[in-house]
Amino acid sequence: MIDRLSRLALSAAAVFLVFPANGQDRTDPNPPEPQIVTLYPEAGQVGTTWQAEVTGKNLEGVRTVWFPEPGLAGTVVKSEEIKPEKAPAPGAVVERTFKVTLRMEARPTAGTGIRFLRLVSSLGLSNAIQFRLHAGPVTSEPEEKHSTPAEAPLLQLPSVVNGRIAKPGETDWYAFDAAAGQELVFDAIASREAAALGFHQQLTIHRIGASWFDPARPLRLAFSADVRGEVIVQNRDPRDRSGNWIRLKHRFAKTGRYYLEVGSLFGQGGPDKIYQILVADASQAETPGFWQQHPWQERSFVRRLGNEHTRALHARTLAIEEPAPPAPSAVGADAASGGGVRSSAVAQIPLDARAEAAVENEPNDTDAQALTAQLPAILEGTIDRESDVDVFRFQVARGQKLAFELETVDAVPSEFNPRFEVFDSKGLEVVSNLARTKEFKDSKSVYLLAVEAKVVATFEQEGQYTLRIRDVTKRAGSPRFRYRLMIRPQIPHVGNVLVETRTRANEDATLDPWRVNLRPGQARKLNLTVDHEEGFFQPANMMALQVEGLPPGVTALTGSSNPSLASRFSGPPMEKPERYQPARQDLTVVLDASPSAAVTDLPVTIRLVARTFVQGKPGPSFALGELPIMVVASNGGSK
Amino acid sequence: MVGVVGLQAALAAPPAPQSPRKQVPAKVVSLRVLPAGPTLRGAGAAVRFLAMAKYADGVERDVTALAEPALSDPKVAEVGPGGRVIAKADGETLLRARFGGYNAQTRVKVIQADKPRPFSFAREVGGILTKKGCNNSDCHGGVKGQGGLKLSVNSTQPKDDYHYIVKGGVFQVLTTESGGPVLPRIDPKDPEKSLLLLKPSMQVPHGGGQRFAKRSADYDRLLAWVRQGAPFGEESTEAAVRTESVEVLPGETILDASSSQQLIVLAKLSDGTVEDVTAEASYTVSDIHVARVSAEGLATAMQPGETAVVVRAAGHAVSQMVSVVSKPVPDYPAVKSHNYIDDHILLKLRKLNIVPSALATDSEFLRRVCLDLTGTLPPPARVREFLASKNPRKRELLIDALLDSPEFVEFWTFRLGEILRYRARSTQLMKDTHLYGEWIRESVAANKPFDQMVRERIAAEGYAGPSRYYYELRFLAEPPEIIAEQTRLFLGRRIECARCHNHPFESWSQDQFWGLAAFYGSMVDLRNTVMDDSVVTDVPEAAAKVIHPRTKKTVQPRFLDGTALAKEAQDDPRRKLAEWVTAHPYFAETLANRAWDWFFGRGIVEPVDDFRSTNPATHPELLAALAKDIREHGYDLKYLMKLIVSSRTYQTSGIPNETNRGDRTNWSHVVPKALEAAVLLDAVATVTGVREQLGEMPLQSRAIEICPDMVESKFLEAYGRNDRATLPEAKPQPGLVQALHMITGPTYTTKMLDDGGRIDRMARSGVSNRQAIEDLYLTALARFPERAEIEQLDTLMRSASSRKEAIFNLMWALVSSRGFAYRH
Repeated sequence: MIDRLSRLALSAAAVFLVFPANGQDRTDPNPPEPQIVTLYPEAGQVGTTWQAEVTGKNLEGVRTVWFPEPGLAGTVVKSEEIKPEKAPAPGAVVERTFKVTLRMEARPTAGTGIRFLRLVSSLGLSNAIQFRLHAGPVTSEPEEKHSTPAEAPLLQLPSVVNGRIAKPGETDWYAFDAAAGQELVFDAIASREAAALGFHQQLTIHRIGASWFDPARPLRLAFSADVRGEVIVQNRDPRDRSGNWIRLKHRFAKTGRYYLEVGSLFGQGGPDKIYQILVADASQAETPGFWQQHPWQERSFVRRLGNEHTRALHARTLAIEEPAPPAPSAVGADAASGGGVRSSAVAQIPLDARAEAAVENEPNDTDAQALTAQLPAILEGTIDRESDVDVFRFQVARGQKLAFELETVDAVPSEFNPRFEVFDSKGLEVVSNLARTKEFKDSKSVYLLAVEAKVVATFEQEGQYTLRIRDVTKRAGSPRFRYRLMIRPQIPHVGNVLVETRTRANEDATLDPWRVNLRPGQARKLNLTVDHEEGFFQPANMMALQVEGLPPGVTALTGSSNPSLASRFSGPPMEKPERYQPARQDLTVVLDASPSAAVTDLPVTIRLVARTFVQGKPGPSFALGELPIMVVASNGGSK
Repeated sequence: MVGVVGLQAALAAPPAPQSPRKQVPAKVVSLRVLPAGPTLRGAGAAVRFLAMAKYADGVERDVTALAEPALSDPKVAEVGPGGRVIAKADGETLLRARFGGYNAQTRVKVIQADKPRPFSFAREVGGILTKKGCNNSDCHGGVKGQGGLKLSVNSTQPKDDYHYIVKGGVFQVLTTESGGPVLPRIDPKDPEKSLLLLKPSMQVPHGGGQRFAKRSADYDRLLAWVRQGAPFGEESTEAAVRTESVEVLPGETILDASSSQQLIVLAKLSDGTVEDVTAEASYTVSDIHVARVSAEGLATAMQPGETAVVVRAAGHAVSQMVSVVSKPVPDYPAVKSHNYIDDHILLKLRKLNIVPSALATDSEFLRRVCLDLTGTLPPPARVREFLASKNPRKRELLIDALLDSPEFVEFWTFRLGEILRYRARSTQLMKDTHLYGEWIRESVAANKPFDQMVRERIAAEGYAGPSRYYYELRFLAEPPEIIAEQTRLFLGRRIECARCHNHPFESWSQDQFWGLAAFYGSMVDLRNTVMDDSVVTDVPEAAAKVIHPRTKKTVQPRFLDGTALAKEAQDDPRRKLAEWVTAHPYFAETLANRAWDWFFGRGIVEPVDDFRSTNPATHPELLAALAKDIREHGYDLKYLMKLIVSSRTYQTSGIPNETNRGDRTNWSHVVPKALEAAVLLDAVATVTGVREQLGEMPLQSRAIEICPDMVESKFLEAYGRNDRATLPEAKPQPGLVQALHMITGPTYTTKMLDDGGRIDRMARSGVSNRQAIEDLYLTALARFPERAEIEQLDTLMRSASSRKEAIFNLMWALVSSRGFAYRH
């Protein structure tokens, strides 16, 4: 009955429902949410057990450690409330703080990488917090002070060490031995939560050497100034496995003892400033996996392009061939738009055509040396030296709608900033991936540029086009600057879907809201932002949403707004956004627990399933994601 | 060519020079006649001459009045009143002079002697306006002029001046249109009613007072010009003869007490001829207590010292150093030179009768060189070791050790960070904090050639460290601001005035300024994600252009000499700019001058970034030699530093003698220099044995490692640390705030009273008074106390009520002394 009701609600995707911003809560309009603040240590070894400590808020009655993935187990050993050092001011809203001791187990089947845990408390399910599983031994910093070389514990390589900069100005020192000519890799990872609070860890490698002033002073060999590996935490989706990660590589000239100093920018410190360091020979260093972000990456430079990718796009839409190319006009290329009426001498590319690789062969810096590719194609090459330009040529039919997608797995912006431009036979630029945004500074306009990983364009003129690709800077080039540029027909489809469940205005935006705790008689709202890619946002197209696996007594209702062209960034407008940005549709799902809804002991995972309708014809269904949900007793207990 | 009959006739004959010398030393070693090989053009063209005798003391003196001039061919020219050679007919003649048993001669060539000199507005009218001060920057030469009349300073822009005088109107900064009431300053119908005559002769009220009398020579010349129809003259033709430069003879001028020297001002014209404009020039003396210069160019000594004389004439301004020497020093000592720096310094000191101070003691040198090269006090054990060493090369070995020390890297990262303006939060992204600073640090550690550093910064792109310099919080800095700073820092010239108008003192035009700024016109900020790693690059087709504020047109990149950036280089303009800047002669002399300032507290040109014709170098030959040397040594900063600190000049004592006590510009003795705020704070921490807690930074952090926007510090603010928001302007100076902070602030007293600090440890160790005095002297002053000091301090310590108080008093006496807070 409940499933049927929810399906009925979801099939009416265009229904508009108006709810207050915080959702309709017929009991407590602003119930406290369990929230994990820190987990220490944040790393463990596969096939072992270890003890961990969680601090957090509103964790009263914590009873279960919940993992969404298999191979992991945990138990709550102890929970104690931490009394505030100062009595709260009269009338102040007090959130109770807890320290919870856990026993964690990673079975041999758990695999390595980033994992998540949540706690189940009387108030429901907590946010998710990340931790990492490693194949090798994982240790923690010693209890004793180790803020000088003399106090530094000796690391055996490879080594994974959990630590924290517990107070401002603290530095943690570790000793290690290196051989002459050996290159070591030092990674320092700050927890996602610490990074969200602005924590920036730093690494310095020292040796003890001679200074005329102090024969025993540490001499700095290397320092982690370039924190390009860091990913700014700006997306609240916990599946974005981000945090601050810095990597320092150093080749040692002499055999001997060296020291690693872990510190922080401006001397930041505190109990939540948690880090891990990984030290290994360069040949054995693991990649912490920060690029394994959201499962659906429409506009990332690190997604894998190819025919599999094309198939994945088709799985989110219904492929319908365009009836005819548009009439020619004076403009070379334009945004994805409706079809035309006249035919072209060059055939349109079938939507299901396989893309073949066209690999550059140097020298190909000039138009005369251009490699001719047959579309769809994946242009492959490397900007391996200063001022390197790779030139390709291809034939396009009139009215052809093309998507250009760039992949640079080995090096991404800001290190490698690939810029491509497509020129017509007269040498006029018709499309490029350099997007320009106008901002205002002191009442004067300034331009910000961006190289985009995906661009769409309609070619109104049939003919031969030349594509030049290079780094946007003049003096960068590296064997790591490998690119794959896929040129294919546009496939109108549903792209990324962003889900937000924030219910309280003052909730920390960086903490995971991807869980729903409902009380009987309460409703809560999920806000979804759906990207419509490559011309999907036509009036005849739509997407319906379905929620599966709801617990008894909980129903789901959906509503949506009209799609519109919206800036990806809040702020000033981008020039020709239709080339560089998807159209967006806001969608709302209301989860409504009836007064008689059964309280749940453990989280129930609900699935968000989308279904597209193209030109009125039903397309495939596909999963958008999963979300844990609990029904919590109104009195604060689960039952 | 426009000839103006009668104008030349109005030229007033210069007065005869006064007796240049009452007494001269007996021994002459050479004689020369100036100017060398002049070519005169036109009827009545004339030039003064000088006979200069060089004496055994190295000083060259004016003996013109005693030199018995004669011409080899009297048909070509004649010697007239005032020692002038006057052209008579085309040809060449030799001007001969004889004095002190020496003969000297110079060739004089005359051309077009039958033709009147062509009229020139700039020369004739501009000359009067310059000489009478009408076009000074505080009068009509100001940015917007005065009283509705705008003139270019020193008539550097004669076409504009002509326009505003003849047509009227007022210069506007933001448009090419003239503003204000269009009021011509001449009246062609009734020339005597011209405001150009009525105002300066005070026939009508004039804010600038009377500049010349009615019927004076200048009045008559201007009146004649108006009556002739106010022509612009020679400059309006393609064959115009321009004044390319102005030269003041005899060059270096050294006067004995109460003596005089006639200055000759020559305009060098584009056709190779010269023109004597001594009478049309204006002379401004920076220190009238040292010398004075008459309106006719006669320099007269007043008292020993040095002064600059700024000479403005014919659209140019130059300066000339005039030195007045003390009485001769009997038995002037022989002073050993360490390198060519000393050769230049000692030569001038000898001429000025100034004896350099003795060589600095080992203690003096040790503390000085440690602070100057590393910003660090030498530890007591090293002081003992150095003072005890008998190695004759110990100073050289010390210099090498310091140059190779990690403290050198830290200190010069700080020092370069000051001028390269390393700030912690330049991009508003905390993670970018160290990128720029680390680039500086790595450059210092690798002793990267300075020209390479500069090229890297100017042409910086991508996410590289030096690219962060270009950010001002969220956005890239504006091209005009960038180029003004780059020019000042790397070329030593302040051209920012030319942003809004042509430079008031120098020949920098607004077009030149904006032409340079346009090299940054295609620089853009590229961001892949909002507020994430931002990348600097040049994309001409996507950037906002640089627009000239007056013409409203897009400005194309042009070098200072007007050469346009080649089309093929416009894709990467900053790289070309970087190459041009570092190849320019200004670059090397600016670096040499700044390096000199680092070690001596004053540049050879001071301020260090204000080279201009009216701000002369005290030792131009030395500056040129240093510039050549650093260029030939690949801009190796360590080489330059070692050269300087190895010199006898650097290693001279700070204790003056009778001859050099008043000298501040010739480096006859080392002048004390206040320690920079960060260096002083680190020194206080060292002496008290208590580290400074800088914000939340690790306790071992030194103040020289901290950026102004990284940590707040009352001490550093009180002692005047640079905020690095702009190029540093001021040097550390003692002040009331510092005195109050020392007495009432927490830094000194808290550290001295700290449990576990040096005072506490010494008090608990049972150290004797003598040991305590010696240890603290070595730590704070890098020297042993003298016997009298020990006795006085011992008495002071005995009067204390406790051991801790006794040592406290001792330390207080030391750290509050000038000997501690200064580098001597």
